[in-house]
Amino acid sequence: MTTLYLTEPGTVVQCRNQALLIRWRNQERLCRLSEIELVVILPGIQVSSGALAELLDRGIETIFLRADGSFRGRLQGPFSTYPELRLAQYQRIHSPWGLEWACKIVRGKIRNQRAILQLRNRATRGRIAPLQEGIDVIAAYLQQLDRSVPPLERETLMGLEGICARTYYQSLRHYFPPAWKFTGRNRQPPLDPINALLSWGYGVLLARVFSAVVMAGLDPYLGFFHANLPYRPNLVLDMMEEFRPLVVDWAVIQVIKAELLTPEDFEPSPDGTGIWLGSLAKKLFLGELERRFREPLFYPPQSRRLALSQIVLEQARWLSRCLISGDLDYEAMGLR
Amino acid sequence: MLWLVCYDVVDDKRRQKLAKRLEQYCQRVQYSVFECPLQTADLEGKLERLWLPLLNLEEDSLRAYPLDATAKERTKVFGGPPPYEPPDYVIF
Repeated sequence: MTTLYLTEPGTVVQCRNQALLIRWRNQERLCRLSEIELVVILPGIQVSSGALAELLDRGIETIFLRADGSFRGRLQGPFSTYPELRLAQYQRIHSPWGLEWACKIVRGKIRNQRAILQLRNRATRGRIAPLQEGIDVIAAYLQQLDRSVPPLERETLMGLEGICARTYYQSLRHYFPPAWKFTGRNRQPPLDPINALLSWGYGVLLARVFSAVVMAGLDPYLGFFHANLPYRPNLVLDMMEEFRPLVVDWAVIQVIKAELLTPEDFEPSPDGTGIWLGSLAKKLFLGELERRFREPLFYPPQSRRLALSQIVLEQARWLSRCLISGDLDYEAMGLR
Repeated sequence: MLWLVCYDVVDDKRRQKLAKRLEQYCQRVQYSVFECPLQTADLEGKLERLWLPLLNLEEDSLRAYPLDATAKERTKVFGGPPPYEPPDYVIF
């Protein structure tokens, strides 16, 4: 099944003979609707009403992103709801169950972040002292998280997650040549190319986790870890955590390691405050992300290899089953 | 599963209509030869509901040969692209 990314402003998409006819300047391409699984649309793409109707009727997941890669919205055709599950989700919102799940999510994320750093540490044979130090700091917090028997309060958990994230991103710079000038995470807007890539990737990941959460019958807006702010898909942000290092950080590392991009492939954002991906960078990075989503990894709960995009969906379904049954055998997907 | 679908249709109008419908699910590899990535049940449904009703089987014919993974691998192609596989992703 095909993922279709529409990135070039000025592209016109129409429906012809059960296929999408995509036209940009003098280029033309057909994509059969029967083969399309997911469509990701960037700003400036004109989609005809006929094409929109087909996407809705066939239930093809269609996602719109902003120019900086952040999530704008998605098409939702008719979908099945599962009231029992929604009720279970609402009932557990302020319960210890919810907190315990939040702990599992955070632990999974931090573990994966540490695993990413360890890969680098092994490749450099532990010669980079600050990297080793960062790994140790994160390990200490992980232990603290493991030792606390009653689930931590949300504020404590958020604090812990924040410290680990800062340590992680600062240590991540040992993956990138100095020319990239990456020192740590910044966003809204990202101030350097690596941060621009990270923001982009998290936008695409959010979009895909969003659709998985909806497919699993969950309410995307009601989360257990992130504060439930209005207009923000809080559960999606929760579910993303374990996949951020696994999918996005991984793809960024790969695309830089392969020297596919140079800092010249990025440009200042129109208002001059941040850094954006140029057209080529966008396409290359989307390709890398897509390859990562399709990579088969061993999925322990089912003892078989699944594509990462499928694992995202399976994790959402697992959360659904836990909510219904009241058990909490959920485990975050680990980097192995 | 990949299917090889080919036809012989006498009437121009019927032929054009069939070709157009086949193109919705299949990749045209020669004028009257298509490669079609569909599950067996799916293909049977399409045949019954969409494709065969267009034909007059007194004088037309349509054939679908299954190409499983090994047949696909052993297929010999001279000129044109290899046996059809939907792309993983398209970035336009």
